[in-house]
Amino acid sequence: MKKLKFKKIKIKQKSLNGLFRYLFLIIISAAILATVLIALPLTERLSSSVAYDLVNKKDLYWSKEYELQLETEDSKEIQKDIEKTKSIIQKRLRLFGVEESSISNYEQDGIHSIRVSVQTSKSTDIVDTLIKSPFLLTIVTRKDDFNYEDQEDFLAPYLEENYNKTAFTRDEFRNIHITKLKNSSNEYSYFALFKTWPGKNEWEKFVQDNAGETVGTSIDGFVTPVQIPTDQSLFAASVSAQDKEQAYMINILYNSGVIPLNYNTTNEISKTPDIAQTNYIKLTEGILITVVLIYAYLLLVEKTPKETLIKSGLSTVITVSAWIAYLKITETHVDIFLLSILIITLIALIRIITENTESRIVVTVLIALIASICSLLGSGYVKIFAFDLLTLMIVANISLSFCVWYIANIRKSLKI
Amino acid sequence: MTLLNNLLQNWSRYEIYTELSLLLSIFVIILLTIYLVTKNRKMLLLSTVAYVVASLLNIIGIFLVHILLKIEITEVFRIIPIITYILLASNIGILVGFYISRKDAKGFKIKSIRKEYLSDSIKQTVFLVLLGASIMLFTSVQTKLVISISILSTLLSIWFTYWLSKYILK
Repeated sequence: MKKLKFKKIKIKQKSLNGLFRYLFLIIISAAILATVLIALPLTERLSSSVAYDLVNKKDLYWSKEYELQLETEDSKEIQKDIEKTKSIIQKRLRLFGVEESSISNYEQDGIHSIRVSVQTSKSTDIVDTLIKSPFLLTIVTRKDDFNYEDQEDFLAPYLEENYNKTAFTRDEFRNIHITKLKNSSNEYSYFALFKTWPGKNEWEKFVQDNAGETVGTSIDGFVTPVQIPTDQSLFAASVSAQDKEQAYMINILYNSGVIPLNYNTTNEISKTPDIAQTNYIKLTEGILITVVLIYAYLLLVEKTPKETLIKSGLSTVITVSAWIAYLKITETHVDIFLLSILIITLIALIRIITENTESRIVVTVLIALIASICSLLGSGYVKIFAFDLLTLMIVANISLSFCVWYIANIRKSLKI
Repeated sequence: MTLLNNLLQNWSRYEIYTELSLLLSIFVIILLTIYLVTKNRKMLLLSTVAYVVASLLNIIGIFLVHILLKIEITEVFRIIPIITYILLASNIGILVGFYISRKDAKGFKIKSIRKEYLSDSIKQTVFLVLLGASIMLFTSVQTKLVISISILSTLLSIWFTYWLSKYILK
């Protein structure tokens, strides 16, 4: 009987590599397509299990106007003190990231007042405290003849009038650091550590003299008792902060300057937020149509090499889609009008860094520098815009390098 | 909340100082970077003029919008100089990048980079005009104004810089 002989199939290393590359490119292409689909508007309706919807920050915004009546009787330089008070309140709001705030002052019947207007998506309670609290700090000591343990008067240990005021105010301290330390119940809670200027011997003497005693920090007339330890010269006042955000608020209040005038909030008016209305569905469709039309036009006029246009167009689509998909998946709250400005700027920049390869690093560095400065020194919308642009410039450069590799490999696989 | 009204009457020193320090820091750091990478005073002068012109055009643009269109200038308009500086940095960056790549070439003359700069500026202008014009259909009035002022200031500054380069890059 004749033996059947099968021909040995020899798989060449080269063709195996080609097959793997081909499969890998299919996966990559599918990932790109999925990213674009997630980024497109209304695609969240395709799947009931995942809500790929862009979360509009618009609903989080609130707006309010506060009237603060200043106590100027003891002031020697009223205008200077009013100016300083305005600056400190504005600094507090900006440090906390309030998007829009304006402060003006006026005088009526000899009474000086400040009007603070805010429009923000940040916590109402915290913004309220940042505006309404002068946060005037004084270190106080206990009166010898006063009963702080009186069960009937449980508020007594917390009222400033039951203590002796000292000369130590916020000005005496270089910095007040908010940190987590172990409390008497052996649990971690927030404390304010008071750090003095070098050479402030009076404070060191005060701490030594009161070692083992209970003194207090009085803020706006409300006292927090502080037990000074006997074994170390640490002055740590407990802080009523439950989370990081509240601790940050206390940090701002302690460290954004000393308000020279006491004040009271006389009026608060809630207002309707004035936010630029942008329909994100219309906007996304618009951006998509714009990009397609512009690139089609540039392709037709043949002033730019086709290769450059493909690279630029593809990296624009990938970068923008990846960003919108990220915002959708992480359910990040977005200012739609800011997103539109950001994307328009990005589209223009990607085109430039793609076309001018010799200038790519210079342009990227210059833009990264501007965005970094704005992230560090800016506030409100400028800070949000700059930080997002900085991230997107990094993504755009990665995406551009990826597109060069992707296009080259697609061509190789399809033998174009 | 009108930014312009506040700026003229009620801005606190903190706001004025922070805004000025932000814009001045961008100015100084960008110009310093350009000088450090090119080591060329002509490039530094050209970049300085471009940024000064763009800043002036921003101010004029915001005032015109406020006066002619009676539009409230809100905090959103603070982004205008930032977008302008970024778009302008991309244009100046092209010039600088081209200069760095060619300066060591045999027979290089600074004058020669003007031709390349012209071609790139035309492309950037066409792209920005198309992008700006088409996006107008889909955005809010405020966004339209922010984008328009930024793009127009950038383009006018780019072309003024190009015209000036005839005298500076000799």
